[in-house]
Amino acid sequence: MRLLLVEDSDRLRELLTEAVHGAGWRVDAVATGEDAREAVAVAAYDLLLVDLGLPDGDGLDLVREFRRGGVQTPILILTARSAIEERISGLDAGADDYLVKPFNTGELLARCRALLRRTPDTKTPIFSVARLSLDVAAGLASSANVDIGLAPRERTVLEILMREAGRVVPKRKLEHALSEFGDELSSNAVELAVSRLRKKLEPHDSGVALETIRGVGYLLREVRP
Amino acid sequence: MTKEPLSLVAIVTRRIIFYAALAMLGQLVAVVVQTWSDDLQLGHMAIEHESFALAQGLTGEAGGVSYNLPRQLRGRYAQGRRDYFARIRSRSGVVLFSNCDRECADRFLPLNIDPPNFWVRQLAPGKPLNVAGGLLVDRGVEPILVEVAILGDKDQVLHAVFAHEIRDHMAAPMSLLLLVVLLAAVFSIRRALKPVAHAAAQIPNINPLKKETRLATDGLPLEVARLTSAVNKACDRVGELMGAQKDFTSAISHEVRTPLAIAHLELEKIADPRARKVESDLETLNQLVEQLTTLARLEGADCIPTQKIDLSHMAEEVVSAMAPLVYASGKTIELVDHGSTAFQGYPSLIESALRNLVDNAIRHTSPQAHIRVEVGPGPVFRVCDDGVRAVASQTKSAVPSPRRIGLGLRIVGRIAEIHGGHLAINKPSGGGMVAEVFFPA
Repeated sequence: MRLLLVEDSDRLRELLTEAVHGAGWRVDAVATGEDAREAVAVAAYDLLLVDLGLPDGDGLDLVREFRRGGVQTPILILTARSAIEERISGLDAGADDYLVKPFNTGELLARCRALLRRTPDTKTPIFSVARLSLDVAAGLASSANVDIGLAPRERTVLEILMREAGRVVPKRKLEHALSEFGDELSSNAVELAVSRLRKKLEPHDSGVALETIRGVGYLLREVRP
Repeated sequence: MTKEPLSLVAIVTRRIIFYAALAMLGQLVAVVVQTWSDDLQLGHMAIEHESFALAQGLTGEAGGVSYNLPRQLRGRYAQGRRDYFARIRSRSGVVLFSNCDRECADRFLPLNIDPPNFWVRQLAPGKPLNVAGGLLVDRGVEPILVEVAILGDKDQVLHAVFAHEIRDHMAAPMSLLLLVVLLAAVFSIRRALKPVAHAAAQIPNINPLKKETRLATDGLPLEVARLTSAVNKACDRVGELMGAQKDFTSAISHEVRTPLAIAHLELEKIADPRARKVESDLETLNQLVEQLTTLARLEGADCIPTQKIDLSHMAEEVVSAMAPLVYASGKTIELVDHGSTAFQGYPSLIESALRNLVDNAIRHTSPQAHIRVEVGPGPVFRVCDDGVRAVASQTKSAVPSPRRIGLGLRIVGRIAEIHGGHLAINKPSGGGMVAEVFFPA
């Protein structure tokens, strides 16, 4: 994986570069919008991390320019601006996600992983969260290389939850996915599938927790030791 | 309670009526003074008034004209009175009625004289009135002469004369004129105010930050166009100030948050437990910056147009966004939707209020606390928790907690106020806290 980091603060650039290296990814770090344009023009990146307050212009304009220029790479905005309208305008400009400063390394890397998973042309459709992984093509789930036998509905639920790991997945999204199995969907089909999945994950030390957010949906999250 | 202001139509109507009444009073005084000072004119009017009143008793029949003294005049022209005399006679000299003796008959025209249409003679100058006269009225077969003599006017005939004069020659025509003027004024005002009403309807859509939302001045009366231009200029100024404030808070956020981010990432590398303590302090400081900038943004936030608020949808988004943080801190969260009703408001502010309350519940409850976000019934949401709250003395933070200075709740309270609603905080005896925000339906 190769990332481009656009951040004007020298020290923050160094620290972020270090954090991204720690995740095993390569990173090119630049300080200005102009350098970012040049970098994107000559190299292919899997993810762009863009700070909004750049010395030679607004990061939002840079994001808009990339999108207008046909750049499909996921973009994660790093910014000090936390107002909801500003987050909305960031996403409207074409960014895929928004991270408000200050943040910790874990949060940054989790967001990066989520965006990298969303990349449409991922060559290896294997999702990993902590020690849990799911090979979508082979239909195999495993925890620390120990296979977990999952029924098709459980696998579908797990795939959606892992794709959105760290975020709440609305219950209706899971209902929609399960309704594609063709059978009449019972009112508690999602609860049943999640409950069974949770039971199957429990004996494994997978480092993830499957939470039920009553009234909203479900959250698959990494549990820190 | 503030008194409802009067409409322009009501103000103008009241003023027209007031000034018309003033003008009528002035005219009345002038007429009374002028007439009172002219004895001959007074005598003329009195004779005319009494003659017409007496002529009411004439009835035309096939055989000729007969006369009966009208009931209301029977006392005044009774036989034997020495101060009011009346004689009704035909042109040829046939007397139909008379309370006049030989002496008084000298005051009237001799019966053998063909009378003029009207005559009046002052018997003595000055007041009280001493006058005699006659009026020829046409009744069927031949004209009838009604003659009257007033000596001293004890019955105050002059009062009736003035009342008649005022009613017939001032009040009636001026009332008609007043009615026409009022209708014309109301019509003109309504027409002139139509574009003003249109401009007023546009006002809620003004967004000081967007130039294209200013009021149109085309087709407005000059004075209103000037006012509208002034409103537009004021909006421009507010927009500039809001923009400057936005830039300022943005710059402050950037200047503070970037070093905070650096410090955070640096501290992560240090394994010492004291670093975790500093991290926690930095988080509190960050929260303080967030709340101060939110508070700064609130001023002027209600200058932009409102939008339809779907609380259920908004709460689902906020709970979804904050759930990872809730579970990471060892707590749980749920959303209960009792069915909310839509209302007009500022989405970003209401979302900020809800986030603040959830954030407050996350930060100030004991581990394993459960947070319940409830929406409805109606335009209301509440954030309840069952957590035990840390008392101020137990927290040894280097940075004053925003909770201790009440910023978070102040922000929520202010947001509720901006919407015309209110914030209510309850602390159930079983522990925890319930924060409710009510919005007007």
